[in-house]
Amino acid sequence: MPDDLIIGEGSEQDRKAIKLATKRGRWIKNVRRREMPPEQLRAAVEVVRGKFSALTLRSISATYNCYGMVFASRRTCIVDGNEILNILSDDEYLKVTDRRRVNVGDVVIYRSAPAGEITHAGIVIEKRPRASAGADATFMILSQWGASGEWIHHEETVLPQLGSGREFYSERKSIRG
Amino acid sequence: MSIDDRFPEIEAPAFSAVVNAASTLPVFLSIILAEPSFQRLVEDTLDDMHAPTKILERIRSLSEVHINFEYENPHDAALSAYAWALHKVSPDTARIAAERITSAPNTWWCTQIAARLLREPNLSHSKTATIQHFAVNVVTNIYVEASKAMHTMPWTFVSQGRVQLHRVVKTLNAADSCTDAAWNRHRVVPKPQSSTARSQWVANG
Repeated sequence: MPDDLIIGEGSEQDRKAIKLATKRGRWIKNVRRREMPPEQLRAAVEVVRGKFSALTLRSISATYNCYGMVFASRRTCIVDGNEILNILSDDEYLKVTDRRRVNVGDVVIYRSAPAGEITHAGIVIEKRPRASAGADATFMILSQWGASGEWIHHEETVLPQLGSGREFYSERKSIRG
Repeated sequence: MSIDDRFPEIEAPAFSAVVNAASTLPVFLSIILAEPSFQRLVEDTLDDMHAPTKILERIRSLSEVHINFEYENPHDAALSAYAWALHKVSPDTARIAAERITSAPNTWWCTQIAARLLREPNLSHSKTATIQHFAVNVVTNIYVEASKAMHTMPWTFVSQGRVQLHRVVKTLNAADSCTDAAWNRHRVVPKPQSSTARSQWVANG
């Protein structure tokens, strides 16, 4: 949420927040969300399936959001999209500009437009080979759609408001020497 | 269609499912604004002068619905949409809506939207001064100082008599009327009126 709508919410002083920090120790603001009623969760799954037939549901819970899934092990909601770049930096993620180098386990960040606001995040779970010579590989993504379920989907298959621009980040390390 | 006919669309599980795909408030608001059912709600609210009152009443009744406290409030998305629709159409009413939706238990978006709406300066309820008249088309915008921040608003908004101002700091106009209006904290000092601008600034504070 933009700059502290609710004073102190999600901060270290908020007893409802869980202790969550980056590798460098920077506090990550987070807010825990209640579960939705079962009938509402069921409806969410039906509605999303109705809109996107190619999606596969992995799990349905409202207690974490997409950033919470990627950066907080599904324990809480990270509610400030502006924090994501700090997390990526502190956690030693590097932007992968060459799509050929994107691999399973890397993080995809969606933006409202190619250079717009960060709107969504997920994890690459499958790299699909190029359909033809000269074409790029495509990726299957696992991401939590707000409170409406954790879905396996093609990288391009999201609600338009979840973003059209995509960037890939990786914290992969290699053994040197 | 009447505004009452729009309520079932906003309160439908489909609406909640779609808007709850958002992870943050800006995305939530962008999804809401793109939803056809929300757009229809706003359009109908603009067309019906009684609609804001009806929406407020709907907010009140939904806020009081008994819920299972183990779970999030199932009306969270609808209450948020109603408050945001009022924000688009009738900002003063939206403040009342914001206060009401905070009374609904176990909400997620309502809390954030209410905080955002209530954080906006309450221009209408300032007690220090009122602009009561306004004949001109010359003044296009004015800067006003609310309790904390500086804001610009259209002159037409002021000339409808709907806004009470804490202090007018400056007007922006095509001619030379009313620029650098000298106001002190509780009293307006009228500026000599030009021939093209016959605004009368009256303080009642």
